Amino acid sequence: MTSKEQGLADARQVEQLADRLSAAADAMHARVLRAIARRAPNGAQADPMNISQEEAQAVFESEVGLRQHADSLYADAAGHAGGGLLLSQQWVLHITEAAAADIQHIEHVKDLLLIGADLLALAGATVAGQPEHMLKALEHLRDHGDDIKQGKHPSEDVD
Amino acid sequence: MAAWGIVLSLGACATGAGAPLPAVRAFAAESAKLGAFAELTTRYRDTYQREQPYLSPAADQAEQAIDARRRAAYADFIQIQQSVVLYMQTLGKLAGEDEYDLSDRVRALGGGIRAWPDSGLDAHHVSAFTGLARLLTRAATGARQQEAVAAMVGEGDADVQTLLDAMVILLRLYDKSNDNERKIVLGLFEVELPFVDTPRERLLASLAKAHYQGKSTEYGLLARRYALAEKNLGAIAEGHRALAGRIGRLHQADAAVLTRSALAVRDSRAALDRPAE
Repeated sequence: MTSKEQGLADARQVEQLADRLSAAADAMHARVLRAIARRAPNGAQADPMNISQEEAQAVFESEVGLRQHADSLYADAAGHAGGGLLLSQQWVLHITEAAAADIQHIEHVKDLLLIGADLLALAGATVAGQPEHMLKALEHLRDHGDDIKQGKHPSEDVD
Repeated sequence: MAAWGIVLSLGACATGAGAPLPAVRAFAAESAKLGAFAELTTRYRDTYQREQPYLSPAADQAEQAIDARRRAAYADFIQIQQSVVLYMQTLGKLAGEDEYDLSDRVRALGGGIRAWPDSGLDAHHVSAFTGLARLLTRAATGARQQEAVAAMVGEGDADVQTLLDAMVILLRLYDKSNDNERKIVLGLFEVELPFVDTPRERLLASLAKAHYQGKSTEYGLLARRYALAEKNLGAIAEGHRALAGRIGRLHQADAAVLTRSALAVRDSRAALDRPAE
């Protein structure tokens, strides 16, 4: 068992202990509610079997104490689960950065392809002797070149 | 006309031979929406604030110690979610939709060249260009994009699963802690209300009952939210595993599986967004 697995097993045990404390608090609550319900109506409070308000409050206070113990253990378990993940997080972020670099590369190749298409259009217009197409192709070429110089990706704007 | 055929087949190649990138994209986009986890983490952090009015002085004291620990852990827990969100957003971008734009452009260009009958450029030139463009397009998008997506999910899967697992455990613990909070708050009323039974205290009893009902509804809705958020994380984990399991052989048949994953993630999240009745 690796230390990480050991840690998880420990966290699981801590959580189970907390579950048992919560269940004990539940049982306590059910019992005090039953006692309150069995209480004789007003005026018969002399009956020693009757639970008094102070007694009920004291039991409830213990119940809350149990729940707080459980919550404290849940916080421990959460610390176990949420801590020690630095390596996983770093790795995921590392991969994310590498993917961002890939995206950059892909954009770059697309830009080159776009420039290639501009050049071909220019060549076509030149061969065909169509000045208006030549001008348009030159304009495209210049705009796309400017975009790339400014770090923009003209291929993103192609529609 | 032969050249036109090549241009068309280029378009088909760019869409057909590729990975089901749109499905990857849909999956990643849905999986990046993890707002419910952040919201429930914040709720966990603020437990004391909500409980405080209902606590006895002794219990209040004890709760403050737990409160400090919940607050201290908050940043760590949120960071786990943020790593996963950033990862999914980048994956979605990597499987981006630009792959089709280029083939459209190449097609338009081929058409443009064809429209210059006197240019001296003929079908031969067009096919040479489309051949070149095809190579470049593959380098730029199709193959390159697929490889990059495959590498990302392949290398990332184990740790992404670790983080998602941790988030599921955290949600479960938030849920259990919330259950204790509910019982501390509602329990006070259940124990105290039966003793508020004289005619003089009637107004107090009514107010307390109304408050109890409101709180009871609030906690009931929340219980549902924890369950849905957990289910959503499960769907994301399963979808990513399915994606990683198909490394290197992403083909059309898998698109259906991935699309199902994306839909499962979307549906489980949509349930979270729907206002509860």
